[in-house]
Amino acid sequence: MNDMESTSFLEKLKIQDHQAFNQLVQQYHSSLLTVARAIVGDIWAEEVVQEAWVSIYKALPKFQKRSSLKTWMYTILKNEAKSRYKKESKTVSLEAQLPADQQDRSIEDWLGNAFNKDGHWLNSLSGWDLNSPEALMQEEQLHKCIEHTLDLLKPDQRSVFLLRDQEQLAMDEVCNILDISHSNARVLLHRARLKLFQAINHYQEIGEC
Amino acid sequence: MLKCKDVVTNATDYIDKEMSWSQSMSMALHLLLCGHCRRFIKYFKLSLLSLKKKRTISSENATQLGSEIIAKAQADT
Repeated sequence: MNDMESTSFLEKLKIQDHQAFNQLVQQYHSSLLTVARAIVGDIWAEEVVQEAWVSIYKALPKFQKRSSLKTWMYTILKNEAKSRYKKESKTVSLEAQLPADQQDRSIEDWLGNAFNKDGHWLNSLSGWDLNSPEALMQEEQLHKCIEHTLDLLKPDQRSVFLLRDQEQLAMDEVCNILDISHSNARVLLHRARLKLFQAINHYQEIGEC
Repeated sequence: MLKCKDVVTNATDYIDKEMSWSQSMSMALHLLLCGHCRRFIKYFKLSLLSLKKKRTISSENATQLGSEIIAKAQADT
């Protein structure tokens, strides 16, 4: 059990101890922002997270440990974010901001060109010069390329991908937070992973995004 | 016998161990025989490992943000 889920820490949170709450903010603010971005996009994410934090703070005395603290907080965030999304999407289409169709075509093109008619590789993948996680993350231009790729994912793909692969939640938690089926989540996750892989592979071959 | 394209299509289920025993064996057999697909799976996993970095905000920013949130929550009640 991590420190944030320990009984003593949860007891402090339940009495709204300011220091404990600040620790919670320090640990989870970035994660909540990631999820909010996935649901409502960049424009409202900060505001939604602020509103979620206020709701979390107010509700802390009523937290009953039926789920993990993390899952409980994400559920509150989800409700705030979906409420905002519903309100704002009446005037602005979030989907329209994202050239996701172009991204999907790019994957289809890659899959179409990589294999022969028998379904075997036409050419082997080139060897990657950056071949450790640390090397990948230390390459600033590649890091920007990865961020750009994540920004271009469809919202539903980005949601699943960020929760599962960046925030490392269990798949059941991801499905619960996003209200989607396990099979749908796995399809979305695989499409997103392929796009990330394709972006990194392209960078390794060409040296640019 | 699986095709290489099938390996790409099922890569997520394979690395997350979400396959049946027989599917998993088919993948393992293909990977044993196919260097191209071994390389693909290696890089596919590597691309995900590059993301597993927990991001936190600074203690100073957290204290300031926490104070603002608490003030707003108290003002609401």
